[in-house]
Amino acid sequence: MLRLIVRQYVSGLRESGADKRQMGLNAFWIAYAFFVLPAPYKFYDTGTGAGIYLALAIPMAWCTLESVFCPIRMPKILFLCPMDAQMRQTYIRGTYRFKVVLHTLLGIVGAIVSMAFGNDWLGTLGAACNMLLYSLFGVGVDAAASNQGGEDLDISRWGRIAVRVIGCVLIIILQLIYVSAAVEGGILAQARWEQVLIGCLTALALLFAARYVGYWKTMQEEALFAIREEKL
Amino acid sequence: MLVELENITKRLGKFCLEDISMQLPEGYILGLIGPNGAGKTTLLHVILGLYQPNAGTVTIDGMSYADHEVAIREETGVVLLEDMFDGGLTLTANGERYGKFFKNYSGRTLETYLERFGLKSKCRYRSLSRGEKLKFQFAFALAHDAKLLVLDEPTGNFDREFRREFFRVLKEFIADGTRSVILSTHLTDDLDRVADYILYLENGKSVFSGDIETLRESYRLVTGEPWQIKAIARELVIHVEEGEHGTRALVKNSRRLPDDRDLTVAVPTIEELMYFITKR
Repeated sequence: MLRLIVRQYVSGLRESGADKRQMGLNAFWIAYAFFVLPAPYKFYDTGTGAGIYLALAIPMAWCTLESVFCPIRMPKILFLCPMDAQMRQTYIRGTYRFKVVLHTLLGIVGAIVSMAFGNDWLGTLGAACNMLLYSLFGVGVDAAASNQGGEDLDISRWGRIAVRVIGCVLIIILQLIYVSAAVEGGILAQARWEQVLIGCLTALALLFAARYVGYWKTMQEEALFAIREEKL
Repeated sequence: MLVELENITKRLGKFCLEDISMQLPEGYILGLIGPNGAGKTTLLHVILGLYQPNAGTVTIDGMSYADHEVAIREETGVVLLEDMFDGGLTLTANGERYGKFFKNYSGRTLETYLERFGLKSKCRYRSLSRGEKLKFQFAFALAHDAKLLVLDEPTGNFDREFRREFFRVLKEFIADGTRSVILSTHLTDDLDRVADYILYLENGKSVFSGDIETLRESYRLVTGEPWQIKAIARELVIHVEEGEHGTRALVKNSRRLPDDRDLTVAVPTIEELMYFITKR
């Protein structure tokens, strides 16, 4: 099953099924993240700042983009192959876990690179955990749902989308804080109140992530549909 | 019966497929016809288990999707107007990747059909034209020894020469009397020659479902002068069309048709049936 998941992932990257509008929106925010957001913080003023920012931002940007052009979805051909419901659920679950692990690993690599630029161990750990939380939100099962006609979404999905958006914003803010702290020598070098703030934001992000993971069963069932009837 | 649909209803937004029933025994070809938007593709998706009907039952070889989905999929070969395979892989690699889900899949059979259809097994799926992709889907469907072939309007994308080959292959497929074909198509000329059963849909409703001989015997195409056509009882007339060279009307076949030697009465082709019924 893992082999199938990896092959389908590679195929998905090659044969992007991206909704152009969603892709355009995500591309805009990524461009904003790389060119506009760092400006007030002057991250690009020094090599250290630029190195840390890019090391922690690139994995997030990849997770965001990939959730659009390669969302978790059963390809139609697999619905027409002799697979029972149990196998399909295993495929969807396995794909989700694979993507979370992949993006977390990318986040860990980025965090380790930030350590090379002067981040402390707590900041490195925090950034890596942040990437794990972001991948839980961003891996794209919900993108598969929302891609199929936002105007047709029912009210229960608006709640899920709100949790996702707020959670992602929180994590992005946290990541910015980690970058700022890393540029100044790490979290341990920050004032006590700043450390408490980081702790509180992390706890809040964890709550949102836990709430979002609670939607998992519904998202999995939706990803199992061959055709989203709401599209019509 | 290999395929049985009983009172299938499926609602999709404002469109509704209503109360469709059909039976297809082994060894026959069913032509699924109707104008654009009639619900042909929707019905095929219901037959393939991709849509859950709001009402009614689908039985394939005595099995339902709820209890025997894997077994039904083993027996069903599909050709749809979509890119279903991996564009970056060769035809052989695509066959291997998805063929391994089927117990009876044979790579050798796939190669045989690829050669027969003029496709190179080493070329990548994405480099094929639309018609070639459909040929590959067809070859793959044949390669896993399906009992039921479901084809959604493939013939419009085939050249004339391959269309002949396509229908030859379909006749070979059903020759042993244990397999059947459901073919959705706009090109009804060929159905006149190969189809045994017809299901005619219009606006989500079944206009006719049954064997082609009964369909043909149910109607007549009458050509004559306008006053002669007007003499036919109104309740028998489906639609009248006045042209430069006379007036034509599709009528129900009945003993009450006037016995007029100047009236030309012919058995309508499926295309003529569709044309007049759609126009009424």
